[in-house]
Amino acid sequence: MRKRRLNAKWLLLPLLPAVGVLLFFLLRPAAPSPEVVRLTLDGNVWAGGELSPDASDLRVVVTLDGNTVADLPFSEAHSLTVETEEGRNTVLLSGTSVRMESANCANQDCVNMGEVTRENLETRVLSGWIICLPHHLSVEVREP
Amino acid sequence: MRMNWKRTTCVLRRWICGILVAALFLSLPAVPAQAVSRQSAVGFYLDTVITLSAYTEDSSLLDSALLECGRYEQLLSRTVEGSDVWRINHAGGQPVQVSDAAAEVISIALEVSRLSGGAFDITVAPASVLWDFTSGAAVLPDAAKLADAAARTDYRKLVLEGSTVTLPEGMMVDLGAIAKGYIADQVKQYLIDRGVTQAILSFGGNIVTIGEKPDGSAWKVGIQDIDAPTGTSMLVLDSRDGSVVTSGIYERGFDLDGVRYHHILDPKTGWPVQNELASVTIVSGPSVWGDALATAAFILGTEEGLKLVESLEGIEAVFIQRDRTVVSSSGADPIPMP
Repeated sequence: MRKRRLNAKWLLLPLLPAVGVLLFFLLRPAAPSPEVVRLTLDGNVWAGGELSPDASDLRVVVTLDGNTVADLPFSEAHSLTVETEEGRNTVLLSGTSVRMESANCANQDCVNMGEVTRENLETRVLSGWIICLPHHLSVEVREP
Repeated sequence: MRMNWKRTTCVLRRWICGILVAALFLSLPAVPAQAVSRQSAVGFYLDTVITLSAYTEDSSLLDSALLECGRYEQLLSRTVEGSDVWRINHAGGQPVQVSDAAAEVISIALEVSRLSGGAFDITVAPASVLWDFTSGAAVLPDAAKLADAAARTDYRKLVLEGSTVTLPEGMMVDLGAIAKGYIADQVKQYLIDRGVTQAILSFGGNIVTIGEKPDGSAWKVGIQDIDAPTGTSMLVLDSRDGSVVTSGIYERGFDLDGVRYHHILDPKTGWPVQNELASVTIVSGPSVWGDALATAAFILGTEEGLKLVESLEGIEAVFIQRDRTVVSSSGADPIPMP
């Protein structure tokens, strides 16, 4: 009897790395990009990640070189500043719209991209995206 | 023999038991991940941004698709050392063996050049490298140098035989006006092959769609209002399983002394095309054709560009003129924004 139990344990052992890999991939998006020097949310230094998860609300997802640094609810008013070695961008969420309030990039394209609202999300030229090409930073308003 | 068989089934039974338990463990976190949901990925390639949004259960699929973009960039970029295009430009007139991808892009480029009577020309690179449309500095290149560069532009001197390219010395190729469209088609196919049935993908403003939206309506593609901030749509087009590519004077360029100097160069002069147009949008199946034809139709102008588009099956166009006049081909149906 005792021997059989031991065997079952041993059988599960090789699966541990698989579980580990799975957990890594599941938890990975929450990890802030290594390029971030400082995140500031509403004037306070912030660790980044997901804020107020809500399956019924649009999300505002900020990425650096494709890595998610912040995931905020569209309906809450927030000011998020992302500082990296490349520069600084401030994203403003009014509760009903999202725009790039300021950036120290050379071309200021992101600041001039206007706002994303519920109403223009689909028909806007860049749909839900605001992009800062020089800083490799993107903001997307997306379905939850 | 009989004993051995019994032992084998016993071991087998234990293994099956173990695998079942493991499957249970693995399925617990896998269940939420396997639901089809809207996923997004963004990458920076080809001096532009690529955004992918697709309904899929595989959260890593879009990241893999972005890696494909990087792979094609390594073949088709003029500035990446060792790329197919780089080797063509540095061969000193000798024949160069290129990838199937590069050969296909060049083949379609030459076809669009022929169809447009040379309005579209991938050998305009000697002129385009003299311009700086991205730094924000408003500086004109030397007129004599531009004239010399234009004299070294002629697609008819570029020879493609199978996958061997021969370019006379002093000439230069740039696939910037067509490569994004080609890569868009490849990435679209990559996702379709992996089961994606609903997606909208953007390659520096070239939009390709897979299927339609989950609610059964068409994907919406906005066309930039020439007098409004970036992102503001003047017209909206429906897209199902297609491509929408726009070439416009507002994309890259600068203003100097009341003149808009933009990135769409006339291959015959090396100077930005100055005609009645602000933008041309091509609606097509393959994006590679849409990309090249948007540039070709812009350079040809409304009248000649429209003739070209109407002569091609499955291609539609929307011309927006600087005075906001909209001219559409027979099958295009742009919806004005209020």
